[in-house]
Amino acid sequence: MQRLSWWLAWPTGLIRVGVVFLVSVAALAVVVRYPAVLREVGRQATSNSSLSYSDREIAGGNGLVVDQTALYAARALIPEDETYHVAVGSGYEGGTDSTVRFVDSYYRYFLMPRRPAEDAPWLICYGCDLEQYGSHSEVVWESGEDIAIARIRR
Amino acid sequence: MGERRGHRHREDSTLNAYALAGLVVLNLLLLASGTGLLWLLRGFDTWLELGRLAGLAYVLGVVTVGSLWTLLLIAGIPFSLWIVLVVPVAVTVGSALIARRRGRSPPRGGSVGAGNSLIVTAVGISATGLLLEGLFRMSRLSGLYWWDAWSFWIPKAKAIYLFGNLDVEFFTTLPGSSYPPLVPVLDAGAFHLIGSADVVTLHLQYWLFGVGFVWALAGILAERVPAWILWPFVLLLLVAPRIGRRFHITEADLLLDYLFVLAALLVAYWILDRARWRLVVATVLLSGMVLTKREGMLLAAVLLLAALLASARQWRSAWPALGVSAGVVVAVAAPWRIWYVVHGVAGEGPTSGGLDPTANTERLWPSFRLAFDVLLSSDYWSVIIPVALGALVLAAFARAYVLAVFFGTLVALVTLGGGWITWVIPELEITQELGANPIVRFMGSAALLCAAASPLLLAAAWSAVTAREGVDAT
Repeated sequence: MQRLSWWLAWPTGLIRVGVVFLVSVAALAVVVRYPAVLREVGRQATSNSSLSYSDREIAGGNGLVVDQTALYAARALIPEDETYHVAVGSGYEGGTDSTVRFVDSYYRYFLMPRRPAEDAPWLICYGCDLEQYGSHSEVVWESGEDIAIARIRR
Repeated sequence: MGERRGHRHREDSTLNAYALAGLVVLNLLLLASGTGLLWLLRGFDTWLELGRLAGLAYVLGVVTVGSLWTLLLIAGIPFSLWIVLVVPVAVTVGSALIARRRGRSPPRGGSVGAGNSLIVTAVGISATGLLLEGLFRMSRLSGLYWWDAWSFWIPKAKAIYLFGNLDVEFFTTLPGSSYPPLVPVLDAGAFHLIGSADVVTLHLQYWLFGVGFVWALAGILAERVPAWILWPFVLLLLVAPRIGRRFHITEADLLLDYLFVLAALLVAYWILDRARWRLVVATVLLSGMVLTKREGMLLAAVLLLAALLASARQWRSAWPALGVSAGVVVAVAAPWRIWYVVHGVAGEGPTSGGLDPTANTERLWPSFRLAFDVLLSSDYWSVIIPVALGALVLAAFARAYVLAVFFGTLVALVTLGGGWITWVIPELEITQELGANPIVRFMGSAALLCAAASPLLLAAAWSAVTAREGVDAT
């Protein structure tokens, strides 16, 4: 145990008190936060492990793609060496604002190594007008969410 | 039906075990590479010393092997499983052979000591381990939620893994196309050992980067900082809202911050003791920074600037060495910049203004104000910043000037750098909103630096007053 003068001497004692004070502040912050962080991390781990395989795999895309089965159907139907195009019709009412803006980016991530291309033989269609392709298009998959996958003969 | 489900379950477990075993093998190779390099550069007196520096060895292995993979990829060498395995094995064997030829002897026993310090260290390691275990469970089955991760970091990694090269179509059209490719390359290396582009298991790789960083930080600091000062700060950075719980996020921000902070500590130590190996390792980490993110260029530049200032009194010997270090960093940074210029990708610099003080003047003050607000926010960093500012004042008061000048300058320059980024890129809104301005992510480097520098500054102040009393007594 140090003598009181060791802590009160000028300026060394003041510096020692300052060091002990700042270490105590850090330690106190740890003591206060540690149990909460541990609980939160545990909750998050439980939440992650309770997800279904598809919820976990699609994760960030769940708020964008509207229907998970559309992603899996696209992956199953479009060969890895072929190209596709994602089109969102102006009147599409499913999903959120983000769906219109970002759903094509998500498909690009999810469907690799398939490449996106404007003139692709595969069309992933969110409420778009397939009639413009006339008899050249063949719908090979569709969902009740107004999403379809079509093969286009160009 | 039940039999089929059981068979499927066994199949999934086998795949999982294979993926995890692959990741373990990859990370052991990275650890071996870094250990070999550290043995060559500095040697290890004892096994205990090797254990203390194993975290730094791991990070050094990650950066060295990752940078070599990246440079080979840019040079057009196909990124195959073969390359993924050969590079770390070559680094390990090569550095071990050279170390033996230079007369490095293997480490010997070593004693862990005794007393209060050992108890504090044991408690600190246990508490840290418990938290890291929780983070492991959180990472193990995490989905990929982060916008930047699925919109370009992981697609780039998948492109490297699936096509074996810097696929021009993907690399020139994805968002962030000028961002350097070290992180996607490391991801692609992990995919090869996992056996597929399994983005769920990939979160464990990032958790391992975090563990390596914490180990490296504690190992470096333990050389100069007593256990009672060290461990509260190691734990503090883990419980800070925007640090520890982000360890598993598959983006480049935290990896960049790890490299920056470890390089800063090594440079600070080098200024104090001039052990050459420290500057060599710091140079490797700085080179990794410029291959990780475009902000890495800025952080490397301000770190070297702070080092120039803090070593000004010995400029004749220090500045040439820092110049060589800067030259190496520029040389490592160049190939990627040449690649993207050749392929017509827009550059990494500010879209307007740059250093022109007359451009965007209406954004000048709000931009710097934003950076300071983020730095001082306890919602992001808990008490890290006020404690660090107090530690800076105490270190200066105790005449530990070199450390105070170095870390004070560095924190100030990083903060000014954050303000500068917002100022010169008019597309960025003046907001802390993550999707509209990267300032919170960028200032994470300053916060992590503060958490790492505080114990060093406080220990320097403590030992300076003790040493002064010793002088007075004689």
